[in-house]
Amino acid sequence: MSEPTTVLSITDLSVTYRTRDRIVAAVSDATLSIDAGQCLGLVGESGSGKSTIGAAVQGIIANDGAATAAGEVVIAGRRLAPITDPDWPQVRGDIVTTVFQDPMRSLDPTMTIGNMLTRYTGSAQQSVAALDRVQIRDAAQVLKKYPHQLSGGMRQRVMIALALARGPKLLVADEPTTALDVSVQAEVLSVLREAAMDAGCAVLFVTHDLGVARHMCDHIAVMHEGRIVEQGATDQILSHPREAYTRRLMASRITLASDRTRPVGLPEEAVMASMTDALALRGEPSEGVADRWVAGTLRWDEFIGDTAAVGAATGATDITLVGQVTRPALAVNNVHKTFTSRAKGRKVANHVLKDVSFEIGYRESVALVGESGSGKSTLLKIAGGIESADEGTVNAQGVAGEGPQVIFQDAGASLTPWRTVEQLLCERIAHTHTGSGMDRDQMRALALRTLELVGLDASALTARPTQLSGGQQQRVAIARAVVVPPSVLLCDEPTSALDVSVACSVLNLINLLRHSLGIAVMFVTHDLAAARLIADRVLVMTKGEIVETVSAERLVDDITTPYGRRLVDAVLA
Amino acid sequence: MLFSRRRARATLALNALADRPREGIWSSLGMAERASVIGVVAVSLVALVGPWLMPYSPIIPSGDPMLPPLSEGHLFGTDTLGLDMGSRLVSGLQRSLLAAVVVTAVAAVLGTFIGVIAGFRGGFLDNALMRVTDLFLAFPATIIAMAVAAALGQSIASAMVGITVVWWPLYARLVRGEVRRVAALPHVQAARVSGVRGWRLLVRHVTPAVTPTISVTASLDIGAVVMTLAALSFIGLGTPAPAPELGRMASDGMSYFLNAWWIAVLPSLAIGLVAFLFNYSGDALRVLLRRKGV
Repeated sequence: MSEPTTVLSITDLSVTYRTRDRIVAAVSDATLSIDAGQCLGLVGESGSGKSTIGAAVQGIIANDGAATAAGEVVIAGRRLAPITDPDWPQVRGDIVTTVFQDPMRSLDPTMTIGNMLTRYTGSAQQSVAALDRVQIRDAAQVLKKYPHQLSGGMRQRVMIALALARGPKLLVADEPTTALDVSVQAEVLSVLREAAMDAGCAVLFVTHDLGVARHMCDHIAVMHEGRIVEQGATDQILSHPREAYTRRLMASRITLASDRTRPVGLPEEAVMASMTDALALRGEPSEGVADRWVAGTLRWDEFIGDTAAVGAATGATDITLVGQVTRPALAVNNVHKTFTSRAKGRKVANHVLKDVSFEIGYRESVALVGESGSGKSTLLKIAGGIESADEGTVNAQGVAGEGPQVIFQDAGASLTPWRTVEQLLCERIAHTHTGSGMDRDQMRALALRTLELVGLDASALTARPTQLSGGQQQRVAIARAVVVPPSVLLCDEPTSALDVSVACSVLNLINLLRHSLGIAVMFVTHDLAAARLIADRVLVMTKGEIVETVSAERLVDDITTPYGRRLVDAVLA
Repeated sequence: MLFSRRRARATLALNALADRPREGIWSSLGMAERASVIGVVAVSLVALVGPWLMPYSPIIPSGDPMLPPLSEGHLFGTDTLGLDMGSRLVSGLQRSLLAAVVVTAVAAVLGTFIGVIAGFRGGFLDNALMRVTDLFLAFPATIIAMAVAAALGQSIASAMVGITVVWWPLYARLVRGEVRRVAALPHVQAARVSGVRGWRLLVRHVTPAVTPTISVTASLDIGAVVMTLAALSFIGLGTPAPAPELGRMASDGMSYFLNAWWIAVLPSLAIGLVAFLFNYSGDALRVLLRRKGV
């Protein structure tokens, strides 16, 4: 047996960025190494420094005052830091290549795949072989095509083929499947792994997803706030995580086996505070919420409150409903929607929604899943009154007369950047309580109570959205939506732009609010695991029609449509 | 000032802010931008108080005719009538700058008003207003300005009206486009869903995103308006002699260019300097407004 050769070795690497306002330590004292034929997963949430390590490895961190690197990076015998190798720009492509997140942006749109590949492989025959290695079957055809003529999954395979064509010692894969539709992620990952292992090169796999890393990598290094907090063999890390952060990261992963009736993830201050309040409000024992959460005895149905408590919690004075309500929170009847566009002078009609009907009952939660272009977001916009339906009716009047509210995918973009949180919340209160004699102080008090309900405090009142983190922004968006309880809360992929641990706590928050405030929820998503957690029923949409309705409880067994099955497989993989 | 409220806000206990000290606005500007800001302030100060500090009247002869610059008592020389060039330049600067600021402000306000209505209301009103705007844009701007100014008679006021008439459509177009863009952004949709409608939506959620564009454009335009005013005066449509106005002075001086170059060149340089400084400070303003994160 030959001695494994170390391809990449990083010793005590520290990188600091200097911006106009401050100095940021992006990476502190990172030490890691990868042997040939091995795959190391660099796992961390946004801002953890994982991409900075990816950049350092390619020798593209210029020591120019804007960025400062200290420590040692040795790659295939060449020292990249602290002294940059003068030949490096010429030889980089033969030693390190990269697969980026978005293949459309990194492939030259003016060249055919064949032209791109043959530059490195030398002959068309070799190019076909290169595409074979990434399991592209009709390679000869693909060589003649331009990047825009290929699907996202195919583009990423081409990207991998290109990256491996030069026979690099190290392949850096920076979130290579994050931009792809969930249903093709698994295939692309296995292609990447097999092709890289065949080529015998080392892989630095940068990802935010512990589950993906588990399938891909031999070793895992977990990064948090610029430090590698834990590293080791994948099995060992996943079965015996030593660090609290790793445990939190693992607990935050939602699967199709997660318990729907209980909070997911590890206890979190923000959500727990409002849980304690919610329990206290209805006179139930509120101590030891954290312990019960950990022990798994804290159930969502404990929080189902009567409306008096809801009124007290939110300060809403106009809630009169008690007990059973038979009217649905949202009724969509025979909705049609067609968008027309002009292509080459001709009108092209795109029938986005075809006769869609469904209801969401009082307190009920429904998830709408479907691939991109299935019309699910349009349906949400119509339900929320942002778009109008061509035909059909939407009734989303709540019992107390309130309309629906929408939580958008990009919470940051949905909050007006120059308005303070207080202004944003009070606007909505003012709209509903016009004429009810609520004064400025009462509105502010209600805004504050609602912020506390979503796990923020008084300091958030004066903040502007740009001063908040992604998770905080989504909490503010939720607070604005529930500050006056809406008839139905329409959520458009509210967690897909968030880090796993933040996404987890937002899901917990939505679940808590829906149980304690009795709000109906419509949850549009790609992520079946999240859908299952939030929803009682899951609707599957394809090409503008609802093709399947499944109970969330029996989701994995009952789902039958091909797209639904693909989604299940994607989560299971 | 525009930015003081932002700087004076209470320090927040939010993690996101913990390590984000803000330095002053000044430090975010490059050297050229800083120089232009100082220049604009200096030029404005000179224009504002200069005429009262100058030793001679700009319209009463105070020395021998055609004294070259650096003559004793007349740093910038005198013109053909023996009027002090320095005094005339400072007064001319005041007149040109004031006129340019007024013209730009009126054009910007009028154009913004029309653009906001067109962009926000859409539909028939949008079409109607934009066709009128197109009408004005379709003709060469300077020709219309000349026609209007000539029809109203030779005075600085008629030149200002003439330029305003051709200047507002630019703002109307610009603002309409911006308003339409901003109105389609998620935060406006979200505000609408949460019950904000009508003028509240417009004023609170749409226009603040448009104001940086307008102010940057306006500050860039001041220089251009100074030039256009000078051009109108140059062809005899602005201020009548002997009142000092930079374009007029340059025009009058042309006849004596070979004997007394400074009579034409000094006012021309002043026009160029003003246009240049306002252009650069427009860039500085853009840098500052970008920091607001709009």
